[in-house]
Amino acid sequence: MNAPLLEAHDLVKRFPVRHGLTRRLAGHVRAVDGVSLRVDAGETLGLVGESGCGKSTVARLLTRLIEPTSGTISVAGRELTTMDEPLPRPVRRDLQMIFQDPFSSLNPRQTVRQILTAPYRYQGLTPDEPVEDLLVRVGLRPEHAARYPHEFSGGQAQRIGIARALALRPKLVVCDEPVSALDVSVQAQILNLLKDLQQEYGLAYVFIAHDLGAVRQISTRVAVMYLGTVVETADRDTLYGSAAHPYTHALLSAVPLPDPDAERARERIVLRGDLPSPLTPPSGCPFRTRCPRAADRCATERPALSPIAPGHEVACHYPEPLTEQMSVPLSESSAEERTS
Amino acid sequence: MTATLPAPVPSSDTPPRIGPDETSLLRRLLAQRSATVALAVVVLLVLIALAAPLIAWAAGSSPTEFHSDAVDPALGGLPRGTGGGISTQHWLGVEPGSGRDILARVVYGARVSLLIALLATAVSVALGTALGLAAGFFGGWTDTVVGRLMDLLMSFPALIFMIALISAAPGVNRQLLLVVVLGFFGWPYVGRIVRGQAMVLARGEFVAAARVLGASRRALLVREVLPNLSGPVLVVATMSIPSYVATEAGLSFLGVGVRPPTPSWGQMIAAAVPWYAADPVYFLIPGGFLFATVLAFNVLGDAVRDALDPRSRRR
Repeated sequence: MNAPLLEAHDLVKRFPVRHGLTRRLAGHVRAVDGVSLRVDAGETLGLVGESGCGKSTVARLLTRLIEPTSGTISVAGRELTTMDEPLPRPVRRDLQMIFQDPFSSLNPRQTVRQILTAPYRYQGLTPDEPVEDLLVRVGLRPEHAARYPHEFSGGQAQRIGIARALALRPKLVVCDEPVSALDVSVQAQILNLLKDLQQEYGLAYVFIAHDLGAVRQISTRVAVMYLGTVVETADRDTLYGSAAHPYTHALLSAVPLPDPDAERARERIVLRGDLPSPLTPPSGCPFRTRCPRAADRCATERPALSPIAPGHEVACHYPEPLTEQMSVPLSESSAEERTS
Repeated sequence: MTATLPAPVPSSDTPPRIGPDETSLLRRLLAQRSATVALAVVVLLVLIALAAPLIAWAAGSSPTEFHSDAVDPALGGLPRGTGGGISTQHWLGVEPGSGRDILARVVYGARVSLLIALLATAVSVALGTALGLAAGFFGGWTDTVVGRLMDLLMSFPALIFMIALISAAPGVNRQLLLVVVLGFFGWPYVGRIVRGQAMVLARGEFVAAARVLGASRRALLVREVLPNLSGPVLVVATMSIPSYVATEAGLSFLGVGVRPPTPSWGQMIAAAVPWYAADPVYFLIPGGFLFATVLAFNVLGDAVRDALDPRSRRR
């Protein structure tokens, strides 16, 4: 088997929290607390979780916009974490990023032509593809090159962001919620564009989103994050069909169904309480404060991410694969399990 | 690989685009009547200053030439004739006592006044942009040091310090000294605004995008952040010109500004004080020019700020 394109091992990012006039250290926010990821060439890893679970921090760690507290990242066999900023240019070329807000990620004072030639300029390269061709590739028109970002719609602006990320022919693109700022109809267009470009260039994506529908559409594998850790990872069909972590169950049960009958029959798992503060995470399993299955063991012992089937890893002491279809997310047996 | 550009696509359906700011800024300014008038006054003043020798030549006088025939020694040197000696030879009258031509002195005074204000603005904008940008972009220690320095300078009794410094520095070119001192005490007002803007911009996603593309720090500062500061800097520069004009006039009035025989409005006003009852025109003319200059630049500054207001702009 080939070496993975991206391998992140035990990534930790803690942000210091300071209080008062003396800037006394009051503690650390554990934004990312031991995340390991692996992405093979040409595949898409979906990364889902609710707001504040550390998804975007992972994106910024992978692209080295912020420094990890500990852990290692390697891209195409090159160890990133031992390299000093600025990263060597070939590494930057392999690894690009698409941002959430299409407008704030484009410099308002630059024309599209300036924005799309910046990758070559910053890399000290001569463009191997005219800006007009890049624009056509992402579904824009060649004459758009002379315009400024504020003259575009959100979807068009995101296409410019995608064209910029692709200019250097990267192997891996980290997409940090690339569609969540867009209208639903535009979201689908952008997702299709990303899929087409993946085929054309053999790209691998790390696709970060809180929208399970979008993730299902584009991902080959999915990792679910909760409070800075990955709680479950599996290939897409396994995750959407037979997820085993109670948090994944809750997330999946929140997805509305297009069929009205199924939608009425849909059983929702409503989690009690709020996301615990990453400043003072709970002992043991991070999810135990809201978990319907929590037992004594969960408060003392932190479950490690361990395989329950080939390619399916879960961080739970009591994993329970879904047996039925998503329309009834929790089977009777798991309901009994909860009460026992 | 060499880039083989395809033939430029004729853009029949899209008119040629212009930049989002400068050209349309002028258009937006001209849409406001007060701004149009202020801009006209400013342009006129600049033309007067540039053409000062020409105007003096056309009027047949010089700012330093004495005309003892134009004043009446019997009346203690009061100008002959009405309105402070306004006549066909001296269009705006003459100075009591010496009989120097007021028109020539006022237009040369405009030169001095605007030159000092513009150079002081250039100094404060250059210092304020550079230091504010460094403070806002790098943060940390740079920010602490620059921030404290700005606090210190802004809480300093600058006027008293300027008077003391300028009067204690003999043999120095006064106009140059004025530019340096005004610019030095003025940069924190630019720096504070630039720092805040640079702070916001440095955390912006387009800066992160440039970093992911491998941009150097220098490129981030010069290519990504700096062009986005031109709006606020333009506003603060336009607003600071009138305050420098007023400060220069004030210092000259107090006798620590521009040294005679170089004419200056502040000096002329100071010289007019003993004569204001007998010859009010001598007081009114430089005072009127000073008032018009400060007002026009202030109105223009307000208009520039309104035209660049981010809330009225589509992002």
